[in-house]
Amino acid sequence: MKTRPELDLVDAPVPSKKELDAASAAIRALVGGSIDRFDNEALLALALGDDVADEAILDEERVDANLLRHALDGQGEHPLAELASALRVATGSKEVDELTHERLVRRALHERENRAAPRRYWPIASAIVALAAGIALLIGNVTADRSEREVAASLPRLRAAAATVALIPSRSTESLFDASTAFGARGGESARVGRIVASRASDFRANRFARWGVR
Amino acid sequence: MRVTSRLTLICALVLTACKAQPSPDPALVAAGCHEDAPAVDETLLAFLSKARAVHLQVDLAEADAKIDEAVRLLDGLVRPPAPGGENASPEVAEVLADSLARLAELEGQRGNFEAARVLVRRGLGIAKGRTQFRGRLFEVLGSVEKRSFDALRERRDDEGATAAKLRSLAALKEAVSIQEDVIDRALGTAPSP
Repeated sequence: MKTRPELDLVDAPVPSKKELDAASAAIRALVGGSIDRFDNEALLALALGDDVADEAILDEERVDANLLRHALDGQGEHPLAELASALRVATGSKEVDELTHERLVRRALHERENRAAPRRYWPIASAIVALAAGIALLIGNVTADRSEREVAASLPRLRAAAATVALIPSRSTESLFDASTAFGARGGESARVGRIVASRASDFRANRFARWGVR
Repeated sequence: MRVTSRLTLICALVLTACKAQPSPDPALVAAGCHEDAPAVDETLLAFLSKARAVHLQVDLAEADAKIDEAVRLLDGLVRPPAPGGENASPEVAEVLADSLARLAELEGQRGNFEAARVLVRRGLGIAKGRTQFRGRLFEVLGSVEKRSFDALRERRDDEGATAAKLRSLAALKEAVSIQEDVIDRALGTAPSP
């Protein structure tokens, strides 16, 4: 099935350690600095060509990913292209200017073609590849002047929307305690503070997920 | 799940952070949350965790009757600056108030009544709403004044003892009044503080 334009992505050079570090830094910046150690190892193993299988990637998927990349380059259209450009402008990040994101994408999509490797890393690794590819496409050094002009107008709206993410606010802890029982003049402080910590630790986790966009 | 689908999902997740609309939790609204209140964050959690650790240390010090050590530990916790400074979050303010109450009680045990009163006054300046934390501060003050009363009476300072007794009764009366308000609010028969 070759109904869509074929795009050349195969003969990309292997990304350097510096490039991989930059990609990891970019991902950490977007997801809040916390990538599971196993996921990170899987990402690196995949990018380095270690034991990760890739038989499941279909030609259609490759073509679709390539279309997205070319749309970001201002060539053609893709449903996610405008969104990706908007987010890239919104981040304003130049940190990954030197990152050859195309290589990462190519590497992620094609490196494993001739490899008969174990599948145990596949579910996680494939998700990480998609994450790396998506983020590289989003914040990479894409030459899309037209898209930038278009999204510049919507930047204030995007930033305003980001500022309205519903987070659990700080508030009185009184509801954590039985109103019918006075604290008393002595004792119980450690238990009270412990209860407060437990409650707010839960809120803090929820806020982190909310900031990541996980609901 | 195919790669295309994963990419779409990931982008959707990223977008969710940007597109999420404010949807106040009714429980939070009922708890008196303000729209401009800061979110529960890492700094708040760090302070609360530190406070818990200090109070556990104080528990151990008190168990060994090391009151001076307990006072030293608590003094380190309540000494400024606290996160947020003058605009500390409610959690910080309430934990500080509770810690000041404990410290005042310990100073009262040591016979440092004036130091205890100063700590209670500071706590009342922090816990301004009629909450259990403010109520506890008055309860501690009542206890401190009761100790003062006992000490003065032992020294046969009848006038001073009488004054301390009156202060103790007034503080305890206020503690009871605040606690009644807390109960009324919990039962839905009184406005929030």
